[in-house]
Amino acid sequence: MMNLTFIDYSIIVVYFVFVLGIGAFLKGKMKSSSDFLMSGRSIPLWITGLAFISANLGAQEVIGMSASGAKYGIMTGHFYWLGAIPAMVFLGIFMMPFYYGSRARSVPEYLVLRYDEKTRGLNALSFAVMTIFSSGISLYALAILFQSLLGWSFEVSIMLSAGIVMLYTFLGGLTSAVYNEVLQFFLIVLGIAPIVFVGLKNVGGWEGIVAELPAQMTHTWQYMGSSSENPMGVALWQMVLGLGFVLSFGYWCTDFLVVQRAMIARNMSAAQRTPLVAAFPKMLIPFVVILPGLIALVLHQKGTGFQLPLKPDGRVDYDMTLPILLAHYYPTGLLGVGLTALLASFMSGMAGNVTAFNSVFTYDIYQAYIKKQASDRHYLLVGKFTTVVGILVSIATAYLARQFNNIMDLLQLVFGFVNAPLFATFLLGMFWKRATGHGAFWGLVSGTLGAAIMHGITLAEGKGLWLIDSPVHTFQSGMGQAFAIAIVAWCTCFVVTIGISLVTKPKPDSELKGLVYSLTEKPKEEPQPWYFRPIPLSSVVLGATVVINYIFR
Amino acid sequence: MLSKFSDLRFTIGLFFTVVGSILLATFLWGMFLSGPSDLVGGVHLNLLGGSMMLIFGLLMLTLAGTFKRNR
Repeated sequence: MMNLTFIDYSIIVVYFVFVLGIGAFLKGKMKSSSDFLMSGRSIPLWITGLAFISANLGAQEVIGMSASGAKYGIMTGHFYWLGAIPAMVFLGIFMMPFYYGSRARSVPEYLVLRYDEKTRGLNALSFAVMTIFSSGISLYALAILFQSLLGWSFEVSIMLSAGIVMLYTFLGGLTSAVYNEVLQFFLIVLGIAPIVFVGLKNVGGWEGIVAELPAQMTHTWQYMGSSSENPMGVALWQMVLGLGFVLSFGYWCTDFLVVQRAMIARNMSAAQRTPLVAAFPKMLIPFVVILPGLIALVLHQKGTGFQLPLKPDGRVDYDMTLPILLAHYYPTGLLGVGLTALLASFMSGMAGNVTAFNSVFTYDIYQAYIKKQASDRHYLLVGKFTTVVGILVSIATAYLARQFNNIMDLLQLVFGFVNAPLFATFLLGMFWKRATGHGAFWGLVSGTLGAAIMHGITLAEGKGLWLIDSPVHTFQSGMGQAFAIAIVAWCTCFVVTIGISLVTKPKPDSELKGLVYSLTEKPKEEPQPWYFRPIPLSSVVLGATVVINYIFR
Repeated sequence: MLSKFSDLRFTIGLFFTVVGSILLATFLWGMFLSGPSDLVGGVHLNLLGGSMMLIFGLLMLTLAGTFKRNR
């Protein structure tokens, strides 16, 4: 357990003062529902770009990726250099023009414009439930971590962090969440970077890591020939199709939590460039979150006195990699910054979930199904009320997770089934004008069912196989199974959507202008420097990603 | 002064200037009173982290135009 001093606590207090100060300062600017839920679509590009990746830089990423770094090595970089950057480029170049150009206020609202009400309803409802449960699960993880690190009681951790997130999102709405995400981004990077610096110095730099660890841990592509050769237990096709296409495009291009950050940009050009600008820091984040995992593993193996902690069953507890490194290296002062960075990552993830939840609930559930015609002030109040309710449900979920841990695992599994087919629906909607609402709805339902069935008939690490007695296929790892399930869900949704669309009546072309690629006028690029134009910018992003993949091949 | 907070660069700059200063003060306090207590793995971590944060904070404050003279 760590012992914090007055200086460490004072840094945590300074952080809380600034976070709440941002909310209090923005309170006076929240005049309409658009200000509160959409930031009045007036946020500068550098802020939307950093908020875009920071909304994803929650605790799961910071703690989870250093755990994966220690468990799987630099292969974890696939989640960035294959599983994020290409999808972010696709979002910026091809999908943002439809999201932003249609003036939809949310991703589900794009679905009602493009398809129909039932498709929007299905997406809005599942998204609202998933975000709020995710927020609660994150809160639970925070409380457990701070209980074991600092001895804080479960209740204190939950009430303190949830209370602060509630205050600043209630006061300043989405703008407050976005501003804080940018502050949290810098705090996480600057708070963890010294570990990388001193850690690399101790293990002899990257060369020292390469010399100490097996070759499979220091290469991303070289051992992808067979799932039995690499530490992740994933085959090349599962990695490229499952992670690199279905899951990454499904998350980065359709998840409102991240897309919302681009939708609040000042204009179309800034909205398109948001994920492209975000891609530059995104490709460097592995050096802050994955490298500590590799450093910890080398220190553990070298017998330097540093030990990765064990679970009660004797297995290594990889989730504690980063917290243990903080305790190992950081003196009083910097320890306060490091813990504040961890706290910030939890709060950033929670605020992102809550602000996305209140927009979807207010626009796509309340305004669509409960009260269609009301004053803007009414919807502003609903948005604020939803923020409070969202936080309270998150707290209740955290307590539920404490009581029934298995239910949370099950929920996360089901969420995976629901998310996997989504990108097929959007891809067909944006690029095939013949796709219909009936096709999209039943495509999503059958894709989810396909994912569940695939999980029920296959086996990996003792998981799955609840439909039949002997497995149709046994995967090398749970990750390989998850990627294969995603591919099946996507293909099922794609085929069913096309099949049903061909036998149902499509919307007339006049209703699809601005929503489908072939019916939308292409904007002419004005003469301006290359870094202001999405296509040259995306070429640089993709080129840099290829170089990084090559270096760590 | 309060209106400066509407510029996020100012807010972030001020935050890191304060935190960086706390870390540097902690380093100096240790140096003068009880010897360097932040020397870990051959690196003075509070000095390193504090300098990094202070420089970043001052840079953001400069970008926000905090040090420009009002003419």
